[in-house]
Amino acid sequence: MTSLNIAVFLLSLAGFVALAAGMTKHAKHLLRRELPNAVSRLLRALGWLLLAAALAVGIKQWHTDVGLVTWLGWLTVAGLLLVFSLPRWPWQPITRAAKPRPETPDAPAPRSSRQVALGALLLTAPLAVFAWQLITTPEQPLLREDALHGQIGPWTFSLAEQDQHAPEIVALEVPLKTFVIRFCDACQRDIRLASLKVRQPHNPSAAGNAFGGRGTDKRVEIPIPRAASIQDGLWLTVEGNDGSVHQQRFAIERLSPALARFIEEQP
Amino acid sequence: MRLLLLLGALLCATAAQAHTPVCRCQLEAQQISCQGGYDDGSSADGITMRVLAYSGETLADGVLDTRSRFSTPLPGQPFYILMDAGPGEMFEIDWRDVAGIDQQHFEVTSTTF
Repeated sequence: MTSLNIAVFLLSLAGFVALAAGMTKHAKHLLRRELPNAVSRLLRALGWLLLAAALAVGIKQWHTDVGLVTWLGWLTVAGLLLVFSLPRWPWQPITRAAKPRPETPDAPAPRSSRQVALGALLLTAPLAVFAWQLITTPEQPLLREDALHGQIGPWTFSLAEQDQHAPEIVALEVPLKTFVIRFCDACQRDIRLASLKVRQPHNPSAAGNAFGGRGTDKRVEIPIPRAASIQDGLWLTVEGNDGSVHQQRFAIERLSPALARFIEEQP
Repeated sequence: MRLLLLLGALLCATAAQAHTPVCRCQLEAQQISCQGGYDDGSSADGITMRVLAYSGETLADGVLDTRSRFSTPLPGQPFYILMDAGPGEMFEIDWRDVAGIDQQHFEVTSTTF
């Protein structure tokens, strides 16, 4: 996941550099020479394409909502990096000696160090917020690498544990573990109920607790039996609106290593 | 006020969604005693309890009493108890999960006969 963040950042930075090099003023600054019009146009097109590629990577990995925000965040970082790098570029554009301005009463007063500090704070605050969000926001379970993608009956799905921790112990000392499932968009209207439990269900009406909730990601809390073993497996039962019932077993250690460890440690 | 009511309703909806039935059973003098409830510690009195054989045959049934308790005699065959709080909301206790029952209890019984 980190490598994808780096990819979005590098693509954004490369896009901005190409866009800058494609502009006459910045080309002279960056490359110490003017480029032919055709090359400038090509660089500008390349710049936009690279920015679009960064967005595509973000959306592919994190879907439209999170992908768009992540892209905007890295765009900000890349843009600021380029802007603040230009004054430190190995060579600087030759500028004509500025004529001393005649002092007029309307001339703005030079900026104080306090104003500069405030400006710097305003520029860096969004960056700090973005970095904080990036570090603290938990990864979406179904986008993690350990999410399981498969098919049950005619329906494709993604399934993952909500978090990678041991089950939560609730009332009566019962351990509960939460899982998330998402069926393909077209599948959802054909599915009546999807349930999950530890151990093979004795009959379809005792298939465990059902996934529920708003949106496309459905969640379920399942109890972990007192005498559960790793060999019991996790059983997904999906009942279609046409009355068909499909079942699939998953290895506990594949879907949740933390749950497998918890079960093994039980007396 | 409407906004507050809407917010309250939304909060309640979230709470209702996170209501998972839980249960613990133990064997006491050939009688299985179960204590049911919900994951937040609230009572589940009136919830249906069924004792089923692995074949699906109902061996006994009842409801959790006002103290959220249910008891039933120990069946003579492998069984499971189903606490049924509604469609897709259940808690299953296999005989192996009942505290106080030997894990080889029914294997020993079947070899004896």
